[in-house]
Amino acid sequence: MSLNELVKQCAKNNRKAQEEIYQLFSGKLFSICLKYSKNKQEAQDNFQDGFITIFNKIGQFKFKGSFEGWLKRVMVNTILLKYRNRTVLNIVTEEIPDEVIVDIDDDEVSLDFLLNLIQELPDRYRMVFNLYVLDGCSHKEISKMLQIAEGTSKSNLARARAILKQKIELHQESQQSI
Amino acid sequence: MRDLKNIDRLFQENLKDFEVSPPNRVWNAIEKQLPATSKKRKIPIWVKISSIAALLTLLFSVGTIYFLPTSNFTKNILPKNSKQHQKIDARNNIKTTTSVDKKSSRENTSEEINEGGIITYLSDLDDEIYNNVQENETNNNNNNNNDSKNNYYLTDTKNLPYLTSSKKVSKKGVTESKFTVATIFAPIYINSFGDGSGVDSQFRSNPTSGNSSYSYGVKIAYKLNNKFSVQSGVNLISLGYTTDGVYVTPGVSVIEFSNLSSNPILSKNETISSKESENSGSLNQVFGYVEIPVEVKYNVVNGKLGINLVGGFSTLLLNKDEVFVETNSFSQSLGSSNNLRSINFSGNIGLDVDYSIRKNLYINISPMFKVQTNTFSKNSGSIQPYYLGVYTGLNYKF
Repeated sequence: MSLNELVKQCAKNNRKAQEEIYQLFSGKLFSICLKYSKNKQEAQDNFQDGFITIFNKIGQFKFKGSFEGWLKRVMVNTILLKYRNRTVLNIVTEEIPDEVIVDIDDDEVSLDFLLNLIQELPDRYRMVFNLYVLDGCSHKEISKMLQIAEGTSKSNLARARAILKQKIELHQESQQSI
Repeated sequence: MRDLKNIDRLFQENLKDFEVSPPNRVWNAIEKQLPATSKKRKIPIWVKISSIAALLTLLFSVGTIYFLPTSNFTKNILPKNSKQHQKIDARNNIKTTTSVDKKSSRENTSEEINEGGIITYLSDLDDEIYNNVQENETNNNNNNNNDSKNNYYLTDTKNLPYLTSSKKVSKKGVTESKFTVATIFAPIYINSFGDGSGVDSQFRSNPTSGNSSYSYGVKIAYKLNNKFSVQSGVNLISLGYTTDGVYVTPGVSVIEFSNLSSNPILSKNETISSKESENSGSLNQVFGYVEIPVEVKYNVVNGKLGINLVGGFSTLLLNKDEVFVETNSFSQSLGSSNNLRSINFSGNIGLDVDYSIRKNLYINISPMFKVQTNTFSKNSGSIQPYYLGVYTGLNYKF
């Protein structure tokens, strides 16, 4: 069965097709959840909710553009909706440098470590960092998605970078001291 | 290597190919929250279709009971028998039989013998049916065969008005498109499950085989949706059975066949030689039906070449019924059998392949397997006829 046929069958609530779609994309979508969520448990919850949303809305996919892109957008949106209303942090805009440089050895950081750092970020920072850095959204897009000002998005990103840099450096120090 | 790195790049590079599979149980949790499978939706469709089918059958069976004169079914064979009752030796003695319903048969027999004694001795080798055979002179009517053949055509034509009338019935429903009408022709191969002979239970252990035959008629189909359509129609079908290993002896005695209602008029052919080997013959039971199928068609492959699954059942109305005895040297009608039910049913299952020639015109080939139920009312062993037919047709959509 072609992907398009699978999608159509999913819209008809064909359980086999749904499972097949799940098997095809669960890896990619779950990794998105891990990046956007606080921890593994929340990632799992979000993943579950996101997939249900996907199957409920799969009939709205019009076969324009990539299906995988559509899946990712639905998944991210589901997560954003969850965290958008939860964050009460309203950071006053401040001047922060665009670029943050860290002094780092590639071998020193593992993927798990970096993922952990992202997850430990406050919700809003994590969202903005993911959207901007990992998924290539502009501040304008982010401001719309999260219903915040563009400036807020920028400052959130800067704060996120600063926190990450700080944590990486802390990690390096602890490694060296051992 | 130590490097100065943009923190964005650090994350981008490391997480570029990041992919983790969720735990297996997550799918189960998701599945539980999805709306129940389409099974629920399927039930109403089936209910719809089967209720339509049931309604059609009801209409057809009620219609046939009321509109068809019963004489069509019972009296169509052997109206000329009386002619054959010629020059009979009234002295004929009969000692019979091991048939099941002795009393009634004896009455019959004696009557028959008194008026007409064309004598034959038929027996199964295994069943020990013993008859006193008295040689007798009888008139041999070479005309017999011709007569009975004529009767066939008569019976066929008798039923033609019925055919057209029921066509009208089924066409009444035609109001919108999605309808298909088709002509059908099918070679039929018939055989049966179980042992037995349609003629008499005494032939149970004799080899019986079906005769190839044919069926023709019209079909009308209505498309319910993309996948399902219902179809019905009217077919004429003739079937035949041969019971082999029957001994035929030209003689003076008459044996009873419990399932033969008419007078067993058996005539001896003058040319029969007395050699034993030529006395072995077969009983041919020929019967015909008006078939009214009600079937549901499920489309599997769509397109210029379509493949469908077909299932359903047919109501079969008896319209022809005769039994012959046949040896190497002669063939003789024995009358009609009284154990054939005038209405019986068959379960149908098969495949339908169609190929469109034009937008509205297509041909189809449909191999069908049909099992008859309650064909015989009694004394036939466990015989259950089935037949295989390859139905071909020219279809017109409108």
